[in-house]
Amino acid sequence: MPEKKITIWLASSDSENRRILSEKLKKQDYQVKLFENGISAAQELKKNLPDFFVIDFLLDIIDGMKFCEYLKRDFRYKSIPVILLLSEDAPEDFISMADLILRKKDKENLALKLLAALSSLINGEAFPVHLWENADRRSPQIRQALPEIFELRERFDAVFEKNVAGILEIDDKRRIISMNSRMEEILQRPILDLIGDHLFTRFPLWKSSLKQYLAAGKVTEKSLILEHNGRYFETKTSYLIKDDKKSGHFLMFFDVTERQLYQKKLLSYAEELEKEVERRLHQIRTANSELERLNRLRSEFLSNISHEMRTPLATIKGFTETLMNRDVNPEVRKEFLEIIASESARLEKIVNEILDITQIQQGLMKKQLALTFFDISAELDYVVKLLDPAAQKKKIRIIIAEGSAGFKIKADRDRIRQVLINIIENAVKFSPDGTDVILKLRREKREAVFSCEDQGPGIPEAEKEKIFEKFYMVDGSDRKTKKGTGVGLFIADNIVKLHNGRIEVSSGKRKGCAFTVRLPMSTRNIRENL
Amino acid sequence: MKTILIIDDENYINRLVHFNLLEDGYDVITSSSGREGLELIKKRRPDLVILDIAMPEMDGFTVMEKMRADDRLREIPVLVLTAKVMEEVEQRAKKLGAVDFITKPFSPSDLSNRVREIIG
Repeated sequence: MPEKKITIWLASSDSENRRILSEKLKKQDYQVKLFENGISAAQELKKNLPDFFVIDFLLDIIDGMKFCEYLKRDFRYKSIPVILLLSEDAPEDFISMADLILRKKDKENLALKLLAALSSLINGEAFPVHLWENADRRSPQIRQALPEIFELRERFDAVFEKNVAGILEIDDKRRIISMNSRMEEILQRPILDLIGDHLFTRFPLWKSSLKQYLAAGKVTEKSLILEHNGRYFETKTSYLIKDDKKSGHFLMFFDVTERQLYQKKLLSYAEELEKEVERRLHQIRTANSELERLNRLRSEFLSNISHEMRTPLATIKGFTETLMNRDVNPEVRKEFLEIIASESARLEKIVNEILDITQIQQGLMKKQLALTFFDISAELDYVVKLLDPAAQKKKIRIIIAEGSAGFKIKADRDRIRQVLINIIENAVKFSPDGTDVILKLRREKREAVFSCEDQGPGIPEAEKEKIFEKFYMVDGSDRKTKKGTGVGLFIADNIVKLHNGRIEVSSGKRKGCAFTVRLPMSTRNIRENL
Repeated sequence: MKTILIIDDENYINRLVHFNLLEDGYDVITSSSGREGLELIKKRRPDLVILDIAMPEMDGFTVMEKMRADDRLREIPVLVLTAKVMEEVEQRAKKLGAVDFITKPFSPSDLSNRVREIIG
């Protein structure tokens, strides 16, 4: 069984270096994979692992040292031995993470040293001291020689690595180049997983807001809130200039989750409050417009009732004066007196209606109910006879299609008569000439059910609830043309309610509408319910 | 003999005015609707129209508007007799050319005097 070849990944931007070293390594039967830059090496790490990593400090995009640092920071990769190739004059103190440093004195020499180092590592031998060129990593001479570089390095560390903000570096193609450990914590991802990936492919949610922000091209005071894994980060950017061109950005992430959640809460409170205010306002407006409507109805009623009273009054006054001033023959005198009597009755009815409304409003009507047993079918006959002359003028037939003779109920006889009059009179009033008004009286369980159907214009669905309101007259042309105070149904409805009954209105079978009055036959419970 | 047309949907008012003006020596005709009244105005060309305002189908205002729009009827004087006592009703009636405005209830002798003032 052939032994598995030892895999060595060689990352270097120096093509000659790559060529020579790989040639030598292959001769020694190592399997070699070459990488030109840090990104391709990092991407490959997601798929495979090498036995050894040989990294040239000269590495594009992510320099060799940083790459080395990332490897050693990541628990998945830190056991891979890393041999860092360093130019002769590079300060040793840069290096903190590599397992072994080899100086690139000349290419041949370097290859030899590398092979020797590998074989001793593979054989588990200790490194020969001469190979361990990093032994004295913190040479005081170098420290003296390049103090500003060390200072810079330390400062950079303080700003970058030890920053409370997560810092993420992207290149001009928006690829992730580096990040500090706080950023790895924020993203819950090691840097080597992300290196080389396009920022917006990795974090598509940030795209729309961040893209615009980066395109702005300058450091702005305006901050951006980005979300990741349920936490919120205030994000600011600065950018890198290389050769007078922007070559990438640093994105700084400050965790503002608490503040953001608090703000969101405040915002939703504010929204709720606003909704509540709007709801209340709506209630007030509705109540207000309802009040305005009732007020309008009231003044319409007053003007209407004034008109309604003035007309019979004009007749009474006019005929009385005529009888006093003119010479009138007995026959005409009788006619005039009959008119006066009839118009007085009309006036009296209006006055009674006003009185009824006042009584209903003050709750007095219920106290004055005089309950007796009486024959409601006889009452209906009486009312029909009473209204027949007025109906005949319009050639309207009032037909009792169903009546229960001797049907007795206990109620206030006068008030029930008033209900029947109001409903039938209404039907006659709104019926076209020559049509029928159909009445039915029947017993249903413990109720007397009276219905009245006409062929008038009917009542629009939207107005069905309003017709029992006081002063209400169905809108449209009839309001102006039909006489009346608009209180008849209001009074009827109240009387029926006082008897524990109810009035329903529905559309008629053909057209028009049907009123149904349901009255309990026994009014035993009336008093308690009042 | 001068002819007076009364238009009022209240038949008792028609009867009352008819009786009194007849006694005063006028030729009196009555109508209980605006539409029919307008036809009678065209047909009979009365010397005076006594007109109610609140009537079904065609009210008094409409009758006056139609009269004003018709060259042959424009000059016929109109006396408005109405139970509507609002100021704006009187103003509108006057604007439409009513020569007098009487509110109900009214005194028949007062009406007779006013009629005499208008058509003699």
